[in-house]
Amino acid sequence: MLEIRNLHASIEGKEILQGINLTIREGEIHAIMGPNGAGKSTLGAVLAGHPSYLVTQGSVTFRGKDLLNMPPEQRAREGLFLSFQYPVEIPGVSMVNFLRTAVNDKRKYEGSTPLSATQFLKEMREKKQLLEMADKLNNRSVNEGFSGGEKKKNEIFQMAMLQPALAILDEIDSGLDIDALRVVANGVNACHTKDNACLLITHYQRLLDYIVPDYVHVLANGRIIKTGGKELAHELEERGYEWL
Amino acid sequence: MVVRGTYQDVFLCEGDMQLVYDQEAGSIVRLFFFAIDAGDREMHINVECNQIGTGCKTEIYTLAYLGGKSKCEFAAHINHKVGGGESKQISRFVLKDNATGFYDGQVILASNAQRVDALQNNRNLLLSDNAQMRIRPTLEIYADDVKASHGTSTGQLNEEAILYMRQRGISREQAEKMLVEAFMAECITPLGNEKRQEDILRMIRS
Repeated sequence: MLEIRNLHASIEGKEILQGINLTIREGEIHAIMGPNGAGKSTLGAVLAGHPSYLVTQGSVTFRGKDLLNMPPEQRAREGLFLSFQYPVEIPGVSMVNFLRTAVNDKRKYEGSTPLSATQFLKEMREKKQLLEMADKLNNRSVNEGFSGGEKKKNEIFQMAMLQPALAILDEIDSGLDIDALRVVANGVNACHTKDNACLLITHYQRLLDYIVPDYVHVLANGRIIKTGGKELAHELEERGYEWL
Repeated sequence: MVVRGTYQDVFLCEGDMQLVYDQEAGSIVRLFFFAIDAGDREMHINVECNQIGTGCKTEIYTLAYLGGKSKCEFAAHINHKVGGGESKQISRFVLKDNATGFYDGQVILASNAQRVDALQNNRNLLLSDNAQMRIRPTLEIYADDVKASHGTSTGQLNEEAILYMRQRGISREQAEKMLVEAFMAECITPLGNEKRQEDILRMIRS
């Protein structure tokens, strides 16, 4: 599904990614761990098409297409989702208007008909229940006045609505209490199928007790320096990153 | 004109206008102004509301959506001559191309205008480097037992928000449109009547 080959990227002349190689197939869950400043969030931002980053070398193929040539909205419509570490507040744009536009723009791109208002609201209601979100969400402005936990839930809620092929979840566990973490993890697990994939970016092994990865990668200085199974996360928790 | 009871009006601005309302006790004036042009129209609008009787309400909503070389100068003056009144001045200017806007908002609370609640809020969105906005917000308070606030800001669309929306599959063009409409909402939703709100949005979109 995703093939990253020798990816180099920089911001303001500083090279952050220094040759990333990573393959993700349908049905897989990957976790990327690593110390602060290793380039974890940069990788997510580059894949999503953040304009501040410049790709200087390498290639990324997503479902057979050249990802790096697409604008961010096309990447999303092709099925790539990035949860934001700091979701943006958008006063005056209601959740229902925002998501209906996003869902139907994607459907249009795929050549399917837009969802009717009834179908769409039904879909929203089901996904709200999954994430244990309040009913009044529909008319609230996107992320405006949401608590930290609500913002993270809202990211996963949007993922559930958009049903991406690949979800890149950037520190969805940061700032969550244990109950909210469980809800967020349940949401991610409920959306996972043999046809989609997930890339988790996290500092802590704790998240991986709830969402169990097939592969764990350690990113340091802009490169993947070690790959292992889920047991690698436990080892990192005990021994830190220094021994690598 | 002299207002007793409730008076509401919606104006589509085209050229020069001069309006004066003298409000008697307990009266309500709600005025909506829409200045929409993408050509080279020049609009000069002067509105004055005088609260002569006690317990009046005045609301003035001004929305300018200008492109091309159009120009709108808008002056809204509210005089609280006596106490117990309320007033609201809400204005939004969206300027594209070489458009120019000027907003002169004035609220005067005379020395015997006690227990007045006055709000003045102006926000402007510049969608081009050549668009220009000038503002002159004034609040003159001679009474001591009042609640009065004013605020103004001028800026561009939030690029972070646009990127967030694009990451969810919404095109840049559509994201900008949604943000501009959200920005204007405080001058459109108080119209109530949904058909009327739609009519205004349709004029802006075309």
